[in-house]
Amino acid sequence: MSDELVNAMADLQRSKVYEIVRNEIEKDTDPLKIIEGLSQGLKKVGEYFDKKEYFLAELITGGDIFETIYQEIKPILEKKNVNAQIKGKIILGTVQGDVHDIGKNIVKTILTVSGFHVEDLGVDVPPERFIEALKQTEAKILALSALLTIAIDSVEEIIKLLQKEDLRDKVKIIVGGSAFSEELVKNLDVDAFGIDPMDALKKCQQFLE
Amino acid sequence: MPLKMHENETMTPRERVEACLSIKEPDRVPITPSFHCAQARLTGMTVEEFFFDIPKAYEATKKVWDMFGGFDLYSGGSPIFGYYAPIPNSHSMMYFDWTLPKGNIPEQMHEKEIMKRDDYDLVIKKGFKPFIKRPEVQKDFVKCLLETSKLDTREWLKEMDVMPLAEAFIEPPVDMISFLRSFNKFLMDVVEIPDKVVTACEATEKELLRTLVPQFKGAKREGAMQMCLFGFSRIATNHISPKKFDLFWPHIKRISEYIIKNGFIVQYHIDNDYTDVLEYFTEFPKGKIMFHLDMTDIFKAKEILGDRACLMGNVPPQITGRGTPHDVEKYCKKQIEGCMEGGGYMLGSSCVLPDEIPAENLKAMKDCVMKYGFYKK
Repeated sequence: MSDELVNAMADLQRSKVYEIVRNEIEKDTDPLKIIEGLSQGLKKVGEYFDKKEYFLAELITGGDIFETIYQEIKPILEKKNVNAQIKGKIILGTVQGDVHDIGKNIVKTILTVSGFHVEDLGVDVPPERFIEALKQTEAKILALSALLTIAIDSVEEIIKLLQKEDLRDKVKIIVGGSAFSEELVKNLDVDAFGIDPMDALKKCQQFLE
Repeated sequence: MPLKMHENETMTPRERVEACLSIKEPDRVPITPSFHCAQARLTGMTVEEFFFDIPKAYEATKKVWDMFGGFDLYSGGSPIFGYYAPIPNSHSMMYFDWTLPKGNIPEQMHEKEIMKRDDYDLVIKKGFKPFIKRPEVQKDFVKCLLETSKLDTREWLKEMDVMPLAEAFIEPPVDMISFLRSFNKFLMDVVEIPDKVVTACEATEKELLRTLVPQFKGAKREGAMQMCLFGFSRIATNHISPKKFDLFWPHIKRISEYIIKNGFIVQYHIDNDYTDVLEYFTEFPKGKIMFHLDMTDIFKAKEILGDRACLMGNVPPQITGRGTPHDVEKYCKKQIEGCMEGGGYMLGSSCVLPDEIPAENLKAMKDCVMKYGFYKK
């Protein structure tokens, strides 16, 4: 895919990205190649974020540009019976007692545009629903979000339920949100703490290795 | 009878806090945790009961003060006011959708895109009035005011010589816009149409400053602390770059100068992390600003602003709500020892105490001040 698309994506030039993609669609370019170009651009966005040249605002913008285009390309992919490669399945939600979803939604976008299939259960999700979703989808990653420290009780409930259902060692748990800290998660039976969306992505990718 | 919490004290709580605000060493570090609804669980009520029953909430607050022997600044009673406030701010149900407390689940905002990107010109022309959804909350606000006026809070505080946390409150246009747009949309606006966002902030500055006029008038009474809470959370540098923060600084600075010009100290209640932009605040003279910190590095703040601004904070909810008393002591001790030199430091919570704080953790916080917070004279 052309450097022009990669660089426009990396520079967050939304209108230019849309224009290039529409031209490529008209030329009947393989949609997977377009997604690959966008992914390379988004990867650069992630690198700029790690180097503190880009911040959360730029990360969200990049994710939004990608997702907007992905929704346009999806019908073409389905028509051509082409599936973008799914890296892994993730069950995601804000735990019971908490309705905050900003951070969760940012992470969802970053994970989705990076190739994960994310089933978002929403907010205030009871522990049983997470377990049910894991069983139905056979997802290997459970991503839990919470802003309120009081919601950590729900995280502990979920872990107990996973243990009871003999699922705990079949699933990797990552937590994120302002309720958590590096110190606090040491006392929780979870596998990772995502400090920010890119960190969450890296840790989910590491789970698959 | 002024409140005395330890035999070695030589000042009243007011004198202690005033010394800190003037960047002087008091007799000891003030202990100033901010309460939201923690009093509820500490006294066996639900958060819901506490929130909706103003007299009961006040009694619970007094009970907590008895349980712990008091604190150096007062923040207490039901927070219900903020949600009925008929002024543009993120907590006001006049503009935003909030679910109020149920049982022990606290109030939470259902943040969504109320203002579209195309609405910036509307905001520039007409301010925030077009976004009023529930004008009827003004009646609830008046009801709360009347109930609160029957309480003896002022007399009680006067007797103890304790001041309330603040007498006036304002949020800047940029935060109001961020909540109307919703977080993600706002951040994309900051990246893609920053000039428009700045213009909207400048256009709505006067509308927000006008809300201070009656508040300042009410605060100009004998014994009232001239402190104005200036709260913002969305332009933190864990969200936007320092370069982007620079775009919003002029209107933040102008609002701050207005507050100072009217004889008030600016109490920056700045949730999230502002460590990388602390230098901006060195523009203000000594003793005219103070900080209630959340995730900002308080040690860095001491280094950069310690000579001119009082710092309050910032024990996080993960420690006070979920840690052990030992964790609390360890955290507070490190902060006290790192920040107390030269005065201008108060031990407080990151934003507010978590509602579920165990009594022993609150006690540990206060005990830590009594153990390590006295100045050697």
